[in-house]
Amino acid sequence: MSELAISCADQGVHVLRFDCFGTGESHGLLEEVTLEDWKEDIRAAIDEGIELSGAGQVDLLGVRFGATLAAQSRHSKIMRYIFWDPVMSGKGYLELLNRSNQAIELRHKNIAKERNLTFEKIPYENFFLSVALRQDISRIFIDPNECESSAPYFVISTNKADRALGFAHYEFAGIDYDWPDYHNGVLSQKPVLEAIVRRVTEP
Amino acid sequence: MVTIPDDMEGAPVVVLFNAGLLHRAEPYRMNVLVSRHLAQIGYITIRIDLSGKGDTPARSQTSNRESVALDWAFIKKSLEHEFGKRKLVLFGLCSGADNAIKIAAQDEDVLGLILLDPISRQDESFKLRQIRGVITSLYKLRNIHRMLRHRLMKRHQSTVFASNLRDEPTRDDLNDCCQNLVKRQGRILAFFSDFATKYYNQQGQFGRSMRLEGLEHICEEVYWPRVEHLYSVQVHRDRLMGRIVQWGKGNLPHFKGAAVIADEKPNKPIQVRLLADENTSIAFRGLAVSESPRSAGDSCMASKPALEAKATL
Repeated sequence: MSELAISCADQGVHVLRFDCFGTGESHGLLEEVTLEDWKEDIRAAIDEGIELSGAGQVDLLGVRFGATLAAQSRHSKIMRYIFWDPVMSGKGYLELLNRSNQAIELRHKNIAKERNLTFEKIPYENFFLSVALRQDISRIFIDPNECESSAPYFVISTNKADRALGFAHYEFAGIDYDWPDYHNGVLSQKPVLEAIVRRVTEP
Repeated sequence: MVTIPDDMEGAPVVVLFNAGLLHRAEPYRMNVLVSRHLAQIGYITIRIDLSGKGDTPARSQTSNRESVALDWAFIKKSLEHEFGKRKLVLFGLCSGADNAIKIAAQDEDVLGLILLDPISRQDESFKLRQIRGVITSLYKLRNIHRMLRHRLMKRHQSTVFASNLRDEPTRDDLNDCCQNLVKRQGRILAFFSDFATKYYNQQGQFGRSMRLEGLEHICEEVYWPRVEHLYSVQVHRDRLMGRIVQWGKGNLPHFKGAAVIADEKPNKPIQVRLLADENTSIAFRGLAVSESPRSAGDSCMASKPALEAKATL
């Protein structure tokens, strides 16, 4: 994201990155967060960005679940939404988190077996989300037709299958490769960054 | 990003380094949480992206070691300017621990180290314990053919793993670091997770293998073979925080002790902007934001075209 911000700034576009409440370097803990807090953070960040830069229009960029959150945000200055590999639904995102937790639990079970250790009976969660937040998240989604009533949605994806999601503006920015990727996609990000920079510098 | 405690009087400074190529917040916000916990018990903490990581662009034509040394010189200068001369504690996970060791080997102001999966020498019984681990594990015996096949395959692969790019401290670095800390009555807290089992398999091995008189008294080792390298489970992160806080509380009077030079600027405002010099002005491009355990606020980073963002939130 840092590279992306610098690349956009080099092209004359002001960029503001921020961490929502309870994430990254912002205050709070995840268990204290409500969905409304995050929506409010996005609105506040847009206002802050406009105040700092004096810009009249805003492109809102969201990555993965950030895109799902961005799609919930309305602001009169938003000119377009850009979604990078969006998670289409909050419910899907929670399922993804659960699968990740289960994978960690399974890995720990195997390690315990391998090393003659007893398996620890602990909650296998990467993060604790409150029940209310889980419920709120499970209700949100990105509706590809929604953009007709708000600013347009642009999807930039590293997965060709996302074309079937039905977005009017879709761009595949992955690379076809046949080598194993041991770096969680880090090798394939350059085309995405270039596609986003192209998109945000378009009038 | 600086986190300031309520009581600044003689407070030592903890500098937290990036692990690998990750942003200074670290996965699962580890550095953020460690910073805030330590600030609550009286440490000034600072999270920094070294050159080439997070928000700091890379230096050109320098080796990692040179780049880290230049960054450190700049960090120290800025810290002294903001807080006066204070005792320093370094925190790092994996390659962050490597950098901490290399710096502590050279810098006499470093009095404490909190290391997560640092390198360790193997003692005489390491191999024996490893073999015993294999022959007493039914799981391993049953899957020995898979293990051998995996090893053979790995030998023929030219894959570059990120962990192989680690710029580890040399034997001399580790020696100098430990000797310096023993000499200055420093303190070390070292955690070894599942990741370290390739070279560490018994609590106490780090101190024992260094064969340095006095090291075992200043070095506290924690061996958690069930814990993943990045502390991906919240319960494990909570235990880590608890252990660090316990160590921090116990050693705070020592770090604040008589040898500490009085704070020249005890009442600095909360907002802190780091100094920049010709070589390192890009290192802190963006906003230098500070926080206090008592205050609330969000973190954001601005990039402005053709202009260094100077605003402080």
